[in-house]
Amino acid sequence: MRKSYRSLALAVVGVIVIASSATGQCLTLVPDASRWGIIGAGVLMIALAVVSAMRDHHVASAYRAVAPAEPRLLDGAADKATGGAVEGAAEGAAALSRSARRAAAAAAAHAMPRQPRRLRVGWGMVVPFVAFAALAPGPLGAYAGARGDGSVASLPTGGQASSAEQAGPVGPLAEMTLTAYSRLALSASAEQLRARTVLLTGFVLPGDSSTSWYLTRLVATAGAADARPVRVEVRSAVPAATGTWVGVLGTWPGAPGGTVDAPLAVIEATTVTPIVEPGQPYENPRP
Amino acid sequence: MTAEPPERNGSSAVPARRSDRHRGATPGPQRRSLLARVDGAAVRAREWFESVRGAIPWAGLAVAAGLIALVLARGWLHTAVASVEPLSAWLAVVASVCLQGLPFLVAGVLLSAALSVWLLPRMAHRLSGPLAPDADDPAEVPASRGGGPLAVPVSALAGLVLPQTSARAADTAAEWCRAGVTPGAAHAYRLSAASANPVALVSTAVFFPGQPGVLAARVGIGLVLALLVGWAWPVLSGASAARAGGLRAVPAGAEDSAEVGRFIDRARDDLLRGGGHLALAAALAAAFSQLVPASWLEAVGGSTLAAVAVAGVLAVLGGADAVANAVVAVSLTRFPLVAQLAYLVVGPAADLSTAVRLTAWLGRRGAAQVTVVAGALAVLGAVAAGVVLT
Repeated sequence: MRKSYRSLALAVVGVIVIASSATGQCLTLVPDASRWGIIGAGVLMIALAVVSAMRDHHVASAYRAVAPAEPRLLDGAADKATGGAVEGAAEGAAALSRSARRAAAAAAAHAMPRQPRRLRVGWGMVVPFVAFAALAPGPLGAYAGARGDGSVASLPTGGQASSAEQAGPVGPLAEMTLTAYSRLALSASAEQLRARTVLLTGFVLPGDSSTSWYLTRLVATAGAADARPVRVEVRSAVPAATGTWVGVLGTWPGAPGGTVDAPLAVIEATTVTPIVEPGQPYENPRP
Repeated sequence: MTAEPPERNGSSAVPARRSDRHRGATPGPQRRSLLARVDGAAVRAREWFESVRGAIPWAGLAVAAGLIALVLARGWLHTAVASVEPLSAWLAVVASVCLQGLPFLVAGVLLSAALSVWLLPRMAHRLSGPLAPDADDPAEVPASRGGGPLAVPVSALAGLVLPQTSARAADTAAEWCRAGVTPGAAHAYRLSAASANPVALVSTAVFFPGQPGVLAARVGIGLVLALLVGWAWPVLSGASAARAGGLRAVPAGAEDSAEVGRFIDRARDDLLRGGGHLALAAALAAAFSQLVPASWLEAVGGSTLAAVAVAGVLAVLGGADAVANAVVAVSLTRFPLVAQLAYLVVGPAADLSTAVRLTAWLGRRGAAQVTVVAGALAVLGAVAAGVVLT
């Protein structure tokens, strides 16, 4: 990456980052809390890009005053400046700042190797952000939800219900996260769920039999980066289309599903209603 | 230093000189013929045009045009990519990792560049102890002496407080060695700064919430690694220690002679380099979580040893810098915690890009030696910590 493009590259990434945070485009990929840090990083990158471009210009013009015959010396291949050039620096660069003059004099006296270190890896930073801005990948959905075993035990926080989760929901009708429902339904305190109606929300993945499918939610603390699927088996005679978001009202049937290694919680659906995909589609493992 | 005679300047066929010759040919402004004036104007116009043409950043314009085209074709591209589910999921994870790593990378790089310019070079004299090299005696300068038995632990602890990216820490260590600090202490600083600096620790706490064990493991492994390599340095490479006087200077690259200029250049270059490595690391990790067939993942994730090995190889080949590698580690969702921990500590201790940077200082053999030892210790540490934590 040539020196003159480095500032430009930083500025491009900074603008993309700020624009995507300001418009909310990135909020389907990262948690809300990281938004301000990302905006701050974008602002600092743009500031650094502006300052470094000014600095490059400054040093280059000081150098041009030193060696007028080789105006592109700073940017191109390393050349040897003539001794006479240093002498001309004093008057030629008089209007420039002290540090720029020093830099130019050092350059002319070979103290400053002018060949910038190659920085090919720098393009690697620009590519993903430009791709992100141009392709605007949506939140993870059915494809990512089908990878992984979907058991709550695969989460970093584990499958054990906390004491608050073991106490169970309050009231006859309770809205629960898939994580909390799965933990409780698979725990020893699962009886808490008896004689209650539970509301779960998530997207649909096809099941193994015609009378059941999976309600799925991606559980993450760092947005799309660490999203892991949690699935609940829904027993319902009514099929639902894969990938659609639904709310399921139902009851706990009294026994787990899934396999011995990866047991899944089950819900006996009474009503299935299509809903709008939530703005923040990932579920927090510790609500 | 003698100024070149004007005839030689005139005879060099550089366009910038041609107007001088033209002006020189006309005796004075009053007696200049109209033709000569037109000619002079034409030459100036052509010079102006050439200087403008030379100043236009063609590649920059091409990039800008490409960006505009991408933005215009955005809707179409979005639909096209969304229809290929694995690609779209992979992109989403890469973007998420890069976006979340960015604040830590920017903070780490800016602090690292500032410290490397304004603070760390001055610390060398303290660490080289009371027998600091005497500038009047050049024969004494290259020979490094210890700053006493405390040099290694003090510089290892310095790494825990001073945020530096691993590449910058390697340069600082080389600079310290030239200033008379023992190589052992310099390596201790380099390793602890690279694996457990404050920015890296904050990002670890953010991305492994509620898991203080991971944070403690990172600090512990970084510190122990630094101390072991630092103390073992004379034993580890008797040849290298003997060669200490012949340390090759780190190629300084385009270093500005002014401090502000150095800070700006280092911050910009390190940010681009760190961003490129972060993107590469994110792409590799996301390929594991979204693209690699599920059966392979089960084979890897099922065996802890295989998972640690794969994570270690990932970290060595394309590891992000320590300040931002926690988010990459959590994106390895199909790997057990011990493998994520290995990714966290092996990358900063033994990644390929730092090893390549070290060859300029230690030679190929020395760099390979210290990288392999540090990497092996980091893997052992991660496995031990994993046993304790799970």
